Amino acid sequence: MSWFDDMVTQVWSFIVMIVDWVFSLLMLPDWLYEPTIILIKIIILLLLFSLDLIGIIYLERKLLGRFHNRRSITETGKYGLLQNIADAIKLMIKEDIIPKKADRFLHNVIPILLGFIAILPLAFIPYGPRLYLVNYDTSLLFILAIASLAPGLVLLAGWASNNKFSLIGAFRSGSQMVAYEVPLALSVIGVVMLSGSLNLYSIVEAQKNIWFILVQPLGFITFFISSIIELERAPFDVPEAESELVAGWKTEYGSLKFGLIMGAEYMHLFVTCALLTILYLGGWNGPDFLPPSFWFLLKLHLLIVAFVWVRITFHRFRIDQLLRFGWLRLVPLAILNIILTVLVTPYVLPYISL
Amino acid sequence: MVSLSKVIRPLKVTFSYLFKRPFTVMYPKETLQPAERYRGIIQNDINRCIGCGACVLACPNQTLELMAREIDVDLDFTNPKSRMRMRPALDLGRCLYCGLCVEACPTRSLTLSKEYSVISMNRVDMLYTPEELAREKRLPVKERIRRFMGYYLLPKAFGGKYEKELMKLTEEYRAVVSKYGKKEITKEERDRLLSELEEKMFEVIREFGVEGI
Repeated sequence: MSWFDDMVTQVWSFIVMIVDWVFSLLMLPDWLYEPTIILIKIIILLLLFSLDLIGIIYLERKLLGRFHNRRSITETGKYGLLQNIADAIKLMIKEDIIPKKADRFLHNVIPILLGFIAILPLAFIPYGPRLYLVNYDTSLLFILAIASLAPGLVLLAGWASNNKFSLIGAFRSGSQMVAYEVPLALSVIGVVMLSGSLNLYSIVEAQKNIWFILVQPLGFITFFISSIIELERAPFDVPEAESELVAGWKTEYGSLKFGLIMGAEYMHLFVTCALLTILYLGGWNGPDFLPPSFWFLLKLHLLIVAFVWVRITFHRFRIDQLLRFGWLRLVPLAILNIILTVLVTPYVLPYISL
Repeated sequence: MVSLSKVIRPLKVTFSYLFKRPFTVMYPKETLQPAERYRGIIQNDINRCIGCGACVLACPNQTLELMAREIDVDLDFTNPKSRMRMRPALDLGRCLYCGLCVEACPTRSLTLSKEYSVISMNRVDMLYTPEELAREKRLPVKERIRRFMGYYLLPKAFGGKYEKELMKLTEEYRAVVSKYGKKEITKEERDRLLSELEEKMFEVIREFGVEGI
């Protein structure tokens, strides 16, 4: 059942044909060919992704409404489908306010950098057996490395805003992000040990017979919790606690910059769910009645539903509870997961296709 | 294991909420039925009403005033003797839905309806002529203002200097009407004077800013 991938490859070869034809028609130089192809790939990916982004935000808002026993967005377009687009347009046409004593350059440049590091991991995610941009040997490491760039930028954003709420929010964000990178990385180690690779593609290939969530549920749970904290979503939204800090480190950001930060947040959500799917839920592996990429996207969006579910259920932690929970519970659990993986590996190794 | 149940139980509860009906009432599209004894906009049975004016006296906010019906164009409404031919008109903008007028009504022609949706962009929409109070029809804005000319409800609906100006014009209007009632001026003269006054009043209201005139 790979008609979907076949279709995508057909469409892609058609696009390449058009590019070839344009190049031969305009007598363009050869060195331009490769960058053009890459640019087209990036544009297509970003277009599809921003469509999915709108869908994710719609899903989240609708689900939040249903969990609250209200109807959520209903008025704009059929079932409120156009509401997110309307909101985006509203953000675009709003006035851009920069605080008087803020660091103008940093204040302006950080949303762009945040958006940049949010879309960078998309290149390394394998969406299907034949649908990926880069098949890179240490792509998992690369994504984790990019994720660890965020705290620095957030700290800078808080400092550049020249606002107490922003600064406190940024410090909280920095502390929790740094603290939870440890269990995140530790829980990934189990998967790497089982699959023997840092390549996301081969990690998915290794789960053909058995998904890693069955081998190490503990790792899945620790990764899930620490990724919620990395995403600063409720119940761990300490850095932007509305009742305490207005909007945390985003307080002074308005208009399109706020839109970019929000977009980046949902991109992080997408990437995190993609990682969870790839590392623990077997990526595109699934029964044969759906195309592999559909399986991948289905699992990803179900994980987003799980994120919303957790968000709506629990109340916010205090910052000290949060850090204690991280260092005294999650880190030991992640280490325990590594030990369990070592013990379990001989028994599950026959099922893992290396 | 106690702490684990603390995690799982809330998740179950919120999950069950996912399948409940939403409480939201999509207000303009669907409306709730008001309570059995809800006090809405008052309603008058214009044929049962005898024009006694008890409701006007009972009203604590002076929202009611007796007014000539649409058929009695030439009625001298300033003369107390023509009261029996008149019926109450209402300024809903000052009504407090107390129901005292309903209690005072000897023929029980005044009742409280269950209508509660009163939304308008101008104060003139809050004025109800006797026919409108009987829910016979709804007049356009300009028509309604013309009907209310000569009655104190119209200036009182506006505030500040507009109220003062309109009140002055209203007194003049009433003087003309009462002169005609005493046969001191002819019908043509009356019509000329009244239409002049009407124009002046419309100008004041236009300056206040009511759309549609």
